[in-house]
Amino acid sequence: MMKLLDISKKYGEITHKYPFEPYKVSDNFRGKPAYIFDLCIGCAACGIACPSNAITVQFNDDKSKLIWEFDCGRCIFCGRCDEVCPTGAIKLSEEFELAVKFDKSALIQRGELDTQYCTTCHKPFSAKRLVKYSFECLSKANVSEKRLEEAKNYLCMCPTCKKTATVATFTGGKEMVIE
Amino acid sequence: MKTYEIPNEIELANTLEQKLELLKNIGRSFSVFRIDCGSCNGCEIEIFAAITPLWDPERFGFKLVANPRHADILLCTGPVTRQMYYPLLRAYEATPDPKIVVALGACGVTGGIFYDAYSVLSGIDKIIPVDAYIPGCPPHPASIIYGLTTALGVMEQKLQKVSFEHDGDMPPLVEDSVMGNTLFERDLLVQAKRLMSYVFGRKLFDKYIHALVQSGNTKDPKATKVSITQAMQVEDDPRYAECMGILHNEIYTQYVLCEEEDKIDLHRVVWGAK
Amino acid sequence: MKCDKFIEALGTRVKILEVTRQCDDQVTALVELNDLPEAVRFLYYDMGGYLTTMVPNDERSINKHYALYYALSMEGGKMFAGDEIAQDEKCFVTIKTLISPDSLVFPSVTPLVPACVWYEREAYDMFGLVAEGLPDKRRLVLSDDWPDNLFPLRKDAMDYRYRPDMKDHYMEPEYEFLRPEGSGIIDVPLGPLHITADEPGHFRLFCDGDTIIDADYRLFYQHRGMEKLAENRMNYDQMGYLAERVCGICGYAHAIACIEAAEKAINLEIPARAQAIRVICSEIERLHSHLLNIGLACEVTGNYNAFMHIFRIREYSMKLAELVTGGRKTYGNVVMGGLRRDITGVEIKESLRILQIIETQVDEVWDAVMDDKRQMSRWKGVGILDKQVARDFSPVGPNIRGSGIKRDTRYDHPYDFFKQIQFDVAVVEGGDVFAREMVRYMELKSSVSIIRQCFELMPQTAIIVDPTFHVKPENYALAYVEAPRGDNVHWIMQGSAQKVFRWRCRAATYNNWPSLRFQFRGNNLADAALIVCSLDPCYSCTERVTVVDIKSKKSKILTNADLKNFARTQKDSPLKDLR
Repeated sequence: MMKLLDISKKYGEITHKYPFEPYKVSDNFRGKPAYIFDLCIGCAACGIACPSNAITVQFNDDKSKLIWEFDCGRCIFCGRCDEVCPTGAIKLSEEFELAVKFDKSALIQRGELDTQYCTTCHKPFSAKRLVKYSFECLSKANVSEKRLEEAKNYLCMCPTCKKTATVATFTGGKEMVIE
Repeated sequence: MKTYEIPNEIELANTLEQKLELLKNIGRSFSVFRIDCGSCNGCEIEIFAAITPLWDPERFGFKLVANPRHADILLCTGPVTRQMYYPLLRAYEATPDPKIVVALGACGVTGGIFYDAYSVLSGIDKIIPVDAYIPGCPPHPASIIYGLTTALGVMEQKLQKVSFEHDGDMPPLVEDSVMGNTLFERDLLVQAKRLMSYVFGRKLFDKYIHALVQSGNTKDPKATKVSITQAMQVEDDPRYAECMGILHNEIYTQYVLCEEEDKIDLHRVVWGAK
Repeated sequence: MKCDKFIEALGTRVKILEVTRQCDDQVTALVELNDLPEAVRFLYYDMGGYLTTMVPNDERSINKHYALYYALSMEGGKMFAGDEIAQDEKCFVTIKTLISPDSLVFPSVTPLVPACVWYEREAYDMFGLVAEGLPDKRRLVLSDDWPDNLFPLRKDAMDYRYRPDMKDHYMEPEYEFLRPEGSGIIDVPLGPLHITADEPGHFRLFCDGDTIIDADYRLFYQHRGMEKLAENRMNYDQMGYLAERVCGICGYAHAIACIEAAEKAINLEIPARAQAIRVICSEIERLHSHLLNIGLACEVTGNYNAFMHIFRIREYSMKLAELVTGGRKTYGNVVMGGLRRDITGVEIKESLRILQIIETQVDEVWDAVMDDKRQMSRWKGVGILDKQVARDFSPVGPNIRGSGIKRDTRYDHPYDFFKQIQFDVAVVEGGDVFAREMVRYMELKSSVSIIRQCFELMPQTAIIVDPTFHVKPENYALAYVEAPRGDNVHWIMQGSAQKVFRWRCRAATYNNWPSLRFQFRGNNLADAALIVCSLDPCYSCTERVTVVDIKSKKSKILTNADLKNFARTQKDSPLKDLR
């Protein structure tokens, strides 16, 4: 019994001053995912990886915009989005002060991206930025001018039309050059 | 699905003005009753951690009580399982009016990872009105302290809804390759992540590219071997040093024609010798 | 090969229809429905097995039948020195049987092997499979207001999001408790919201004066429907995070058990560094969990001073977890094929410093607690778990090790990096609260040493395999991880399209609850909370429901005096003639 009191004396006061002084979490703490809209290409990798579906990527009602939405209230802070994001648009920060009062919508972050329409069937299928990004990647990947020119067309087609076009090329007896 | 409808007298006794009045009056002495509505226990543990001497919320008058009839604040965790629905409502109705309800943890706020399972009701606010939300899975004790002090008005709320509606021009995202082929960077990054995970793998990637550029000619296997070995020697952290060597042996050799002797002998390099 | 010996012996007793091997130490024997009880009993009592888990499965789409898998860990009875199977022969034997969807009835194993009781009750709840001869047929897992004849885990029963209507909350359905007969018995309800319990669970203590003569409980207030959720919404990469949220305390052990089950089903070997880090993280989890439990065992006996000190030390272990994984409680670093967070030199250095602090300070406080006579008198002789009861109900973790039985998955079936690590299994005789807390203290010390060994032996390899493996539908396997409160066992049958066909998660506490009733009996009412606490229960882990004392019908005939005498002297067990 007395021994416990000795221990108290030995270690003295240990209470953190927080919230009156800032509290420092460890480096690489998994806090709130920070979203950088300018870097987001709307590829939806984060939405697919997210175990709790806190991130959703969906078209709006008239399909004129692709909407990226993050609900911090549902987030489980696993960092899968950070891991899979190809451009670094979403990164876990060390932010842990997340509480909100009365209005739950303060927990939401969203971004609207312009839709890319298919050049053949004119249906919306992706974000403009994703097409632009894919082209940028290809152009720096050591592929020939001709191939790049072809890619420009293919990238702007929706998956269904792309399939149809490829089948048509094959069955039409045209030669396809793959480098 | 039909769930709880708040009886009129409880609704009338719990208007926003009355709640704000209560918050003003309780000042630095408030009683909290904890309700676990089927959480995984992580949040309970962090609440426990938050009432220990390290965080000591009694500085603000926080006191856990044993009975909802003594409580000013209900601290609810968990996604509200079917079996806890009834006890939750019993506790809610037993709490004196006006009452403040705080939803804690991802499950309490929205149902979290369980949000659409058959045996849960997706969050406290689907059942009873909630006044403050503390997200986190589970929240850090500091988040809990922050949440409670925010609810009491000691701290300011930091988060606001953010919505970007104008899709402006995207800056160029792909940097030029140091080898003239971005596939090299792609493979390098994949391997770096396999070695040291996404957190440290990106740092490893940067360190390696930096060392590679230092060599002057990235396509000369002799020069790059020297500069990478040097970088490994000055590296403090043995893990980074070794992984730089592994990256060089496994990825670089695929993109530049190398002899066996151009590989780095990982057993011979001594690191941390500044 | 491993296991063959047991299959051969089993063949002399019952007819084995088919034998399949899942991996090196796991084998499944298919038997006729009527041979099931004898097959399980034979392996359990005659060959020295402990019940690991039981999995009911809806395999109508595969072989037009429901299936039951009784998995037994063959390790020896361990009731006396030498009563143990040789280290290299320890393995898992699963008894499988098929049930026709027309009858839905199977013979209950519980009358022969009491440890099966919860599993068989759950089989009815989730699949509608009736155990013929099961003494207690009350609902276990689902909520009291759940519609009859809706069995959620049947593949064709319902959408995983389907929520039947709630009842009006003034008309809350009642649960029927098994009440002992006799006059002057007072019901003392405890929970579901009670100040000494962190989590919801309802205990009904039946008391004569201050003495508890019997107890019954309704748990599974936290049933969330994870198994169905995982089968429908999640792929393997996401499942680890769901498994981690089975329980907030031993969640990491669940995460690795779940992912390892999926890996074992396709015999995927993960890199040694990933194995080492998995061990490090699970031992950090043990540090914080044991400190938590020792702290709470002080708190429920009113020793706030010690509680606060232990929680102060516990913060170091939380800091350690935050440093190594980026999260205090949910580590979130397990994916199929390895890990997704490495440990660098900076972290290792800081970790070793923190471990040193934990080691010294734990000793100081434990020494002070041991010195406190009042504390000791509250712990010693309370909540005794009789060795034979332990043998019958297959409890796990410090609960059984405190009763002098050397069961530890890390030792019996070394997994991951444990093959290369030296440590002693903590075993204490006595079976009371003190013995269990002593086991925990000894394990704290060994965990610190295990973490140090891992840091030292950790090889410099990648932390995840090449993502070129394929899942194979209908392959299944068990994985087992020694969580702080016993072994967590996950059973996974793989399905197509990156999803599981069936995921059965059995948490440590699931095996510990059924014997709790015996620990209550004869104790003072004031110790009830302490006894529950000393189990280190995890209500959410169990995530399924109540206890069953299959012998309750007979034990009701016993007089209170008998029970009291038994509890006091621990001799002449009133249950012995029931075996």
